[in-house]
Amino acid sequence: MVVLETSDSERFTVDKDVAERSVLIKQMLDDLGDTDNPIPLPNVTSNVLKKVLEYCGHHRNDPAPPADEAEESRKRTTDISEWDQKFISVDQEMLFEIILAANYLDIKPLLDVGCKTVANMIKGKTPEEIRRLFNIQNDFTPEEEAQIRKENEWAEDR
Amino acid sequence: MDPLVALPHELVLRILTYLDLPALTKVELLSRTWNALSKFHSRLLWAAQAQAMDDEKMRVTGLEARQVGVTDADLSAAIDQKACAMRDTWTGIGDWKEYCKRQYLITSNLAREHPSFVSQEFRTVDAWRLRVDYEARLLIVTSIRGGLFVYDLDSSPSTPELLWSRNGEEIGPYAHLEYSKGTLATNPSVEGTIEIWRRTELIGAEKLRALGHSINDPDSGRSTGARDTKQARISPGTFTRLGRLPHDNSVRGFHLRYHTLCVVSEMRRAWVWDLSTDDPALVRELEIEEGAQGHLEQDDDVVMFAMTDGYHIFNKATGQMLGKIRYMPDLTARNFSHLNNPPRFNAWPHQRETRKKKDTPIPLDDRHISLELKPGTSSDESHLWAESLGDMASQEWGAGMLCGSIMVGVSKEGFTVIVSDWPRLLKNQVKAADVVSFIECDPQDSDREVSATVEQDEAGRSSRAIGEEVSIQERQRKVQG
Repeated sequence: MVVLETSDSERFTVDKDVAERSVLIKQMLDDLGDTDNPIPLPNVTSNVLKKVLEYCGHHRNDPAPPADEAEESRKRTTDISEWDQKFISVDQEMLFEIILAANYLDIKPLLDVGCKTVANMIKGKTPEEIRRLFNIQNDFTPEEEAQIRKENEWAEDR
Repeated sequence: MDPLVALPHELVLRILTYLDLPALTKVELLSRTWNALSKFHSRLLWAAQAQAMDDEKMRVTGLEARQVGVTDADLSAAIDQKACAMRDTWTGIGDWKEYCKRQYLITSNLAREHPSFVSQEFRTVDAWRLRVDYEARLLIVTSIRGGLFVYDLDSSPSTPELLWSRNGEEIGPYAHLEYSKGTLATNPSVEGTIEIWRRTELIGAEKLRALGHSINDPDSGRSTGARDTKQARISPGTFTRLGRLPHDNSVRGFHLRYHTLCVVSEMRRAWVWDLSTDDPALVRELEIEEGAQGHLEQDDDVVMFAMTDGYHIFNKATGQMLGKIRYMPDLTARNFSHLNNPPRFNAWPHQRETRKKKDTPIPLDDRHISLELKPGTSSDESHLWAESLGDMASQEWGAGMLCGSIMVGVSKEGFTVIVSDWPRLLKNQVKAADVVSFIECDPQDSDREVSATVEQDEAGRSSRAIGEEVSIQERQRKVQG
């Protein structure tokens, strides 16, 4: 078992193979050897780590991602499995927190699920809809906006 | 929450590489910051997009995109690959975004229920076999009356410019024509031989001199007056005969895929010629079984012969037979489907339209027909077909094609066989039932013969069809799929 300590000082005790879905934690454990001391994760809060550990628990038996980067990207598609989709159906703030945590903890598959989810939220929407979705302020002048629209006219659905 | 506020830029880039093309263009419109980000990383984002468009499985993300080809040289290479099929569509591309735009416009046109494409009629001699050199811009034709004719593909279709020709005494009527990368093979009027011609521009100076050509040689010390230079220059579209390959009258067919020419005889023999140098050389003589039909096909490594009992595949380099596509013992009704004849076109446009604007491409928005594959054979007795067809010797098989691991063949009885993984089928690594499909087509009582050649570009993204008399139909200005 491994003990993880979050930024808000909450401790989680988890199986080693679950914790080691995180390349960062795996490397720390390799460096430290067997230890009872909690591993500090100062960049992750407890409510986010809970979510991340849920993911790691479900995927604990997945084959390790291939070391070869090129090989890995070749297999990658934009599909997300059913369980992952359900898992990632969270509010925007939590979604971004999960992406940040996956990046920090170095859990590549979870990072991909998060990024794909945001990409899927953007796909098929008009610029206005995307702005509304993410609360983005349109600071173009009408002329500027018209100009960019014209440049990309060819990509409009027809 | 704005992702640009919530996340570091490298993670936002990672997200953007998962977008499809329309979404990626929308991002530029969100705000000044979003616009600046996508413009700043434009090369990376659009190179990744291009990669995903060409092969979704190859999609790369975020920082990994830096590892994919994003240099100008990579862009030129990608364009070159497309441009040989559709030159006009692929010129004037300065960046990856423009590359994606061209590909997007083609793909969305082809995805429409009624894609738009155009037809142009080339008025040539009475054509028997025709080939197109899209790089050198040549239309090459042998005639039913004899002769070999090379036209400028970019000249006026109603009065195409004849660049070079050989008369019927040299090349007889109904001469077969093979063409690949500037080299052509044909059977002339001299019985039992195959002639190899090459675009004169591509032949080495030494060989040209040996063939008695006067060429413009800067070292020869000849007077270099303007008139002389002009006379000595090789005019484009001309061909020079590299040699006559001795064969006998038993030859049933030959196939050229640069740089090898394969010849098949009904006398249980086949030959592989190497045409990579200016002096054709015999590489290998193959011993084959009786019953060669004359149709043959090559890819880089193998040659496939249509035989009375199916298809036989040989390794070109070793001469070893790799196996036969012949007997499929475990097929079920699942492996069969059929296709009813589509409704016929009323007429080709040039037959129904007044021909005032001779050289204007004719839009062919109504030329697209949908084919529906129905499961089983048309006779409701699939199990019987499965039994008899499992043995391909029950039909007469003709032209076959190879494309990567896919093999396709057609039979006189109106069947098409498709093998999705022929290398593994030959090695018995897969069951025939998992990789073989037969499609039954209504035998058609056609009132006209169509001599057609279908080519596919290397990426398999576009194909072109060239038909007899109608000559060239081109979709998307250049291509008909």
